[in-house]
Amino acid sequence: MKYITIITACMLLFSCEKAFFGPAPENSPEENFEILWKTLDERYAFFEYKNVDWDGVYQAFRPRVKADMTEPELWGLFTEMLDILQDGHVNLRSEFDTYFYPWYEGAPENFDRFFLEKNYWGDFEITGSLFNTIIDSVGYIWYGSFNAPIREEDLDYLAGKFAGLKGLIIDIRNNEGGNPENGFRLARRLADKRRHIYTTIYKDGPERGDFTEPDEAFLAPEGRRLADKVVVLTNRTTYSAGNFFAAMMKAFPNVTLIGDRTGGGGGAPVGWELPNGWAFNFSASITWLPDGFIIEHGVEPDIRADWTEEGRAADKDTILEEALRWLQ
Amino acid sequence: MKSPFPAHPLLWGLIALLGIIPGAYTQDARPFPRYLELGLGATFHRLQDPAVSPMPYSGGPLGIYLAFEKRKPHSISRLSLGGDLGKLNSKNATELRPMASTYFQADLSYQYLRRLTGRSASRLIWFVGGRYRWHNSIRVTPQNDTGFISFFIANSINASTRMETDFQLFEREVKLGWTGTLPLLSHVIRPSYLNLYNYIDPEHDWLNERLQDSEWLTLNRFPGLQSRLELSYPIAGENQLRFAYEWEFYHYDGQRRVNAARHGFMIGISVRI
Repeated sequence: MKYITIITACMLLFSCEKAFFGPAPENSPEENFEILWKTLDERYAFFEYKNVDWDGVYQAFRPRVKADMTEPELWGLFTEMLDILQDGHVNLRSEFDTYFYPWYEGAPENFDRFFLEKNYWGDFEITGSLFNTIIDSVGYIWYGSFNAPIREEDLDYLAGKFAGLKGLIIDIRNNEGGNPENGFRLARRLADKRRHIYTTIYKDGPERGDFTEPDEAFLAPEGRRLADKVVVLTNRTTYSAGNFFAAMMKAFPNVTLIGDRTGGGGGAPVGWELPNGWAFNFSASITWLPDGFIIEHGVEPDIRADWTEEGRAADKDTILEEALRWLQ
Repeated sequence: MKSPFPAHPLLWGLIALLGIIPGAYTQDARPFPRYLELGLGATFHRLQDPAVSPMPYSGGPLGIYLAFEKRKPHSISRLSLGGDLGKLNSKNATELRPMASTYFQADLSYQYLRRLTGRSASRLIWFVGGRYRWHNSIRVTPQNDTGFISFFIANSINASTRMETDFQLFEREVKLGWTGTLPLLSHVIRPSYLNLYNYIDPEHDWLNERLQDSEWLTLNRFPGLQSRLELSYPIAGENQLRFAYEWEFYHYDGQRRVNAARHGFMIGISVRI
């Protein structure tokens, strides 16, 4: 009997955890809306910068949420609400669709990979993730995605290949981002000395003004340098990690940005999920250049250039031509 | 879920180690018994962590532990290393909406208990003492994109108590023991408010960032309990089979509160060395 008492006492003890666990959110349209709205309310970084009245958004959208909404109806309402933020780092994902804001809409295309391959790249090589060639005694690299890893060995090889040339063109047009670490690896091979590249604050609390202390980021040269004189080509589809790469290049006087303004994506994206299993991302930091320019809406080039109808008809990439002229 | 253990060389190495310990099958030559214990089992976890999801997650990772126990007439000391590995998910998860985390837990602890002679009447023996525990719980949640890793790391100084009693079962004298442990003072490391590290700074200091997000907590802000009910059944050579039911719970009352509970049913072999 004594043992049964001991065991019973222990078993009773085991169930007391339930007292601490709060109730799980319901998987209802209302609860999913509340969690999406509130998460952004507390953690989205750009309400003030973009002059968005998020409380007003709640007043406008909450009455439209009904308990008997279908999933496509709820999806439509959510994406309509998220569109207000005009932020390519805000997205919503389900098995039937992915929403993101088309930040590049209305901008000149300014890039055609197959056009370049036909008219400029010639006998190009693909070193790791880096398409590369030599055009008119100038080194050329096209890097299509910052998700593609860049290895130090690749950069060593290219440093040898491009040694003694007039300069180097890094083409990140249509590069929609990925892992910034790849950008750092490439940038270290272009840097002349350690420089302040940008400053970032992160949300660290639920109130609008809750941000971390500013973090001043520096980048220092490392490894064999790729070139002394560098041009980075950008267009409006250059986004996120591509935008950060362009931003850090602005700090180095030996690097010139040519092309269109980048598409932006200057807030670090953070992900979470809703009770119904839809995942979403949002921007949770603000980054500005040493001169105070916030990069959320993109980085301006040093030399603005676009494709022209005449250039295209003559098989000329007018942005690349501008870069080649700059480096001669 | 496919078990990670059959192909794990470390596990087989530990089993082999237990098998070749020379003293394992000899009679006692030392005054104080010492045991090396290896256990495996099934666990059930329940987790409420807003760095992972607004939903609670639960699941049944596999558990394993290795322990060294030394018994003297008036004390017990135990050094143990345990780990769980498996999947946790939400009750709303579907094949197309996984709502899942891969869960890793690793605990290192050292416990020292002194016998309370005054309260050790006849067959019920009480011990009290302390325990140091390094608890690491890591949740990898791919759908959270850049915030895919959430963790809870706690270094705790605990108060412990234990009671033991012996009785006859199948003509053998078995030992029933219960150990309860409370964290008195803990240093807890959690992810930042956003569950994000400063990855856009090329020179970011990951460890320093984590320490900035850590804090010291006393029992009132980190209440928890670890309970282990075990039955030791003697087998040949003064070795033992150990059947244990482990339960633990904690509530972290810091930035982004966490509730976590674990139930473990473990079977171990305790080899006298």
